[in-house]
Parts: sequence; structure tokens; C-alpha cells
Amino acid sequence: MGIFNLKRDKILTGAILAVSVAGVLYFGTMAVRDNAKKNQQNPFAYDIKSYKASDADLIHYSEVGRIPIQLPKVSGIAVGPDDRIYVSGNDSVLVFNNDGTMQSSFFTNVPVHCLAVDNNNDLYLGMGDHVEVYDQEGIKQASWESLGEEAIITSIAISVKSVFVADAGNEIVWKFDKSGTRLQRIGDKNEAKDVPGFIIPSPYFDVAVDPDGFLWVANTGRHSLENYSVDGNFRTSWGEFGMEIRGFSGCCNPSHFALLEDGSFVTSEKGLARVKIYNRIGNLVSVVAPAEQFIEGTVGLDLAVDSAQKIYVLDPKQKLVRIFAKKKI
Amino acid sequence: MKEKTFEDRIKRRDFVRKSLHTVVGLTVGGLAGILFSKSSSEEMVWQLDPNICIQCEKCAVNCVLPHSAVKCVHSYSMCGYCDLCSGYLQPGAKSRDTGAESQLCPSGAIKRTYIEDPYFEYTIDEELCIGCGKCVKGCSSFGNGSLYLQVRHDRCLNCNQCSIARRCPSQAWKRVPASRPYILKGDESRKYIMD
Repeated sequence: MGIFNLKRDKILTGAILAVSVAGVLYFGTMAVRDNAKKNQQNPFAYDIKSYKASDADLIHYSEVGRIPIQLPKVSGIAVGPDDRIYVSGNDSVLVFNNDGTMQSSFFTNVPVHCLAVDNNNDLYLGMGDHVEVYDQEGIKQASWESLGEEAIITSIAISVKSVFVADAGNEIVWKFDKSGTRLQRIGDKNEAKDVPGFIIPSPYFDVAVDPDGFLWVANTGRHSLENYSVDGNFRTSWGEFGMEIRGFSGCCNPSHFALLEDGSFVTSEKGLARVKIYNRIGNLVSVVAPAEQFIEGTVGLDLAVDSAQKIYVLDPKQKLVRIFAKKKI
Repeated sequence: MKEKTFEDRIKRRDFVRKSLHTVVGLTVGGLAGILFSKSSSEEMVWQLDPNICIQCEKCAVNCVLPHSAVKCVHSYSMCGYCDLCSGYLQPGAKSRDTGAESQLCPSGAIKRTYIEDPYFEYTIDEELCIGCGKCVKGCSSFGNGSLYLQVRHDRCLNCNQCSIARRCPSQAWKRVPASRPYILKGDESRKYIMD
């Protein structure tokens, strides 16, 4: 009887142990599997977060001011010779003093896509397919010829004698004299002269004139900035694709750029909205504003620079002029 | 008691006649109205407004069909035909080729065809597309937004209570007339769309 009881106890103990081990194994496996499922990446997620961060040591600028723009939509910014700030949006132009106070505004009756200011404070406005010239009082001085049905004027740059008009629709830069006479096409593809031709996949096509009087054009589809003489001869280019901070991201960038007085470049991108500084030969120098400083969906940050080398970023999502100055080290 | 005169009888007959005319007129008018309202109430179907859609990925997994009726469509008039297409290539793709590791689409539903340097055409294979909108997100973030999602009505069962619409976080789903069942982006006459 005692022997039977002992055996029965051993069998019972063994069974309990076996069930316990099986349970531990089963639930352990399930837990591991569940955890693995939780850690599995969502295959449909489009994730560019890792490219949004920027090395803090590279950020040499800080935001020092903001000017809210009371317009339904903003399109362009320019700084005049006396550091007044001009902002276009819808069919209006707003003029601000350098301290951010509003000075004046005027209507154009036609939507303004971009603007530039001459040394004598005349305003050149890109109105879709043509340029209009206004004086300081907002009185129209001239309306130039249409550049055709396909034309979409996205940027205007002014030199001493010429006006350069970037036409994203026709993928060309037009050279005018200041009376509005069309003089020349710049940037047509020419293999014999090593002119690559403009690839403009989206309506962002910027131009600027550097302190030496040369024309710079953003060839966004090639992720490069190209340099031309005022006569339209291709001279050089720099820039490359890269999602990392050193390159220009996405299909077509930089969407906008401006020049500092030492000839270095301020660039902005769409997709990864970020503002950076490159030196004259295209090496990254610093970051003005990383992508983290912009709301998701911010597209098209127009840029301008004043005489104190402050950088004006037109934020179309927040309808703000955001002013950045170099940090004092 | 006063006897009814001939004139009284005329008045009563006139009243009855006029009442009958009114009743018949109202009946005919009412019937015509009902018939007209029935003929003008068009059948409605579900559609996704691409201008509101946030590409949340829910369309891929919430349709009652085994393969979602939501597919990516392409507005060729808006496309930049980019070599470096952000709707086709992974954000950090090492090369711009058709290799599976370079492709953004989890089901390989976008076909890339060389046109001329440096342009490529992108077409959607709807049999493979699962409607996740990953390419739409890529295209919208960096490009022109030429890729977008639509309910394909050769597949959609037009359920009374669309199971995707119920879960849409941006209320992008709408009832639209069956005669105009798509909400299209783009304008074939323009290269770029400017607001």
C-alpha cells in the first residue's frame, strides 16, 4: 500500500512538472512571437524621420524673428536695397520695414508667383506667363509680353543691365533688358558646348545673380546649381543628390536659393524642408534650419538675404517670414 | 324652405367641376413630380478624394474584398518623369534601378520604363497594387503628387457602409454620382498645376 502511494505521488509530481514545463514552453513561445510581431516594421510606412534630424554642431543659425503674413497664400519674398522686405501672395504685394512693421501694400489684380527688387526699388513681378513692373507706390509701370501658354514664371533675378526670368513651363531662362525687350534664351541643351539643359520636374526653378554679376540657376532635376555668364554661356556647376544633409534630396531640389555677400549659397529644399549654407564651390558649411523646424507638408521655402546677412525664409505652411541670424560663438 | 333656383344649381355644378379639375390636376402633377424625382435621383458610389487623403495605409487592409478595390492611379500630365522618382525609389536607395531593394512599392506594382535621358515613365500594375499609398506619400512629399489613390469601380462592391470609409481618419471618402465616379487630379492641358 505504501509502495503504491509512493509511486502514485511520483507519477502525479511528474505529470504536474510535465504540464508546467509544457505551459512555460507554450506561453514563452507565444510571448516571443507576439513580441516579434510588435517589433515587425510596417511595410507600408513611408519613413524619412532619420533624414530630418541634423547634427547640432552644424546648425550655425538661430531664428531671431517672425513676421506673420495676413494673406490666404504666400508665394515669394525679396529684400530691397534699403533692406525693406517684400512679400507676394495671391494678387497682393506687402512691404515691411526691416523691423517687421508693415509699411504698405498694393493689389495687382493677377496672382503673383514671384518677385524681385531692383536697386532703384522697382519691383519685377512674375505673373504666371509675363512680368509686370511696379514702382514703390504700387503703380504699374509696365507689363511685358507673354512668354507663351506653357510659361510659368517661378523666379526673377536682376543684374545691372538685365533681367533674368526663370520659366519652369518652358524649362528655360529668358534674358530681358530692363525695358522688357526679350534678348535671349539661356540654358538650352547643347552637347557641343557641354550645356546639360534644364530638367525641371516640378514648378520650382530659381535664379539669382551673384556679387560678381554671374547668373546662377537651380537645375533641380539634376540636383545642381549651374553658373552662366550674363551672355548665357555655361561656366560651371555643383551639387549632387543625397537624402543626407550634404546633398539635395528627392526628385528635384534645391527648390530655392539665395546668395550671401561672400558668394556662398543659401539653399532650401522641398520634401525634406531644410535650409543650408554651401560655400562658393559647393561644400556644405552649415545648417540654417533643419527639417525638424518645419511643419510636415511644408513645400517651397523662398529665400532672401539682407545687408546684415540675415536670412529670410518664407514659410508658406505657417504663412510667416522667418528670420535667421548667425549665432554668436 | 326656399326652393333652389336654376342659378344655385349652376353654381353648385360649377363648384363640383372646378374641384374635380383641381383634384385631377394635383394628381397628374404629383405623379409627374414623383416620376421626375425618381428619374433624376442618380445612383451614388464611393470615392476617395485625393486632395484630402493622407495615405494612412488603411485602404490596403480594410476593404471587404480580399484585394482592396483602392488602387494607385497616375496623372501623367502632372508627372515629372523623373529618373529619381520619389514614388518609385526608396528614400535612401543606393541606385536608381528596377532592383527590388531599390523599389518603394511593397508589391512591385510600379513599372519603370526608360523614355529618353533622363526621363522615365511609371505605370501601375493594378493586379499587384494593394492600395497602401506608400508611393503616393513619396510622390506627394517630394514630387508633384501625380500618383494618388482611387476606388476602382470595376472592383468595388459599392457596399452601403464602406468598411474603409468607416475607418478613414481624414474623412476623405465621399459618395459621388455613378456617372462621374472618379475624382481626378491634374489638367491635361497644363504641364504644372499652379494654385
